[in-house]
Amino acid sequence: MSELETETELAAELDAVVRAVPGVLQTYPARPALLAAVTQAASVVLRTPVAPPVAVSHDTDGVSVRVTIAVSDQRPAAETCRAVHDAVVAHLAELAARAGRPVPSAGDPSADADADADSIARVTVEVARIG
Amino acid sequence: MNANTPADEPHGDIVDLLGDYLDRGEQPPRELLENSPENDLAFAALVRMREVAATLVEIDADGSGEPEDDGWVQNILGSIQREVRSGRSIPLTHPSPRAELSLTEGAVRGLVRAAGDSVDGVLIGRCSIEGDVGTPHAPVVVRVEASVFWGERIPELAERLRAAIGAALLQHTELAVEAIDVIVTDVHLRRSSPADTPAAAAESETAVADERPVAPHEEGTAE
Repeated sequence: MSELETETELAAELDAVVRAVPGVLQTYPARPALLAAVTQAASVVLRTPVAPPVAVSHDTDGVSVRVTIAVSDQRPAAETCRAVHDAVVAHLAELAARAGRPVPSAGDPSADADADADSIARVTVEVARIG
Repeated sequence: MNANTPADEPHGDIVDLLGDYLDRGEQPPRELLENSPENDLAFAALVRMREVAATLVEIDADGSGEPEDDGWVQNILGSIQREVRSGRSIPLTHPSPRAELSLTEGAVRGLVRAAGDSVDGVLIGRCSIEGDVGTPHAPVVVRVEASVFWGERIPELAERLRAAIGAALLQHTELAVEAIDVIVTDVHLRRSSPADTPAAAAESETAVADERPVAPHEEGTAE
């Protein structure tokens, strides 16, 4: 399986993880809206799968994840945003544990759980709509 | 106020497009909203604006058979178009150095607009966040322009508006809000108002109500 396919699969998994966090209403394409719309239109025409909204990339520092979300106004937006980060880190830790790699998260995902992770470079969560 | 966004800047196609769907009584396609937080925010603001505007009396002040100038509506549409843009990133704290958490400025302006529009008797015109929002705990000032309904007491309305916006910002952001300035730019006549006279509604006044001591012109009602 190519790295691109792996990243696409991981992005789809993370999209489901993010959407399951209480307070998350939806995820948005992690690319500029116009580019996303063009890409989606091309996917329809070419009958190719639409890229998942979560952006995943790998470099020498490890994996980076970027997600843009809409959140409910029934839960503090900052709290939901932190919960999304923690859920992403916990999922990456679970995958690392399954693969026998060093576990990036040790116990408490709400604390600095990924501080020792050599596999997580950055997790970016942007709230683009509240309510 | 953003010097790059003059009040008379034409609003873009998306507000027109979403407005066309509303005119036809249709819901925009899901993908139009789901792919873009800007479109989502614009649609929500448009729906609220139209609900309020539908309760207002159209004035034919010059007897021409045409409603009075709808410039205030165009100004609100232009503001919606500008303010839904994502704008600056407003950071949220997290103990991990590998976490980059933020709210877009567009999301916060949308929050402020929704909180303001939720106050009965008010329709938010323009909204801005002034200050260094990119630095945690740096003081910021929120400024809103609002249209109000005839007969409302402007100082009380400004206070309710300030309370609603302040509560929303406190609940959802980590901004250090130093002040919420409310500028009343227009007064409009509601259909159900007992003072339903064209002459009264044609009158418009501007009053500034902010955190500083109350000026004499804030004491009266909007009449």
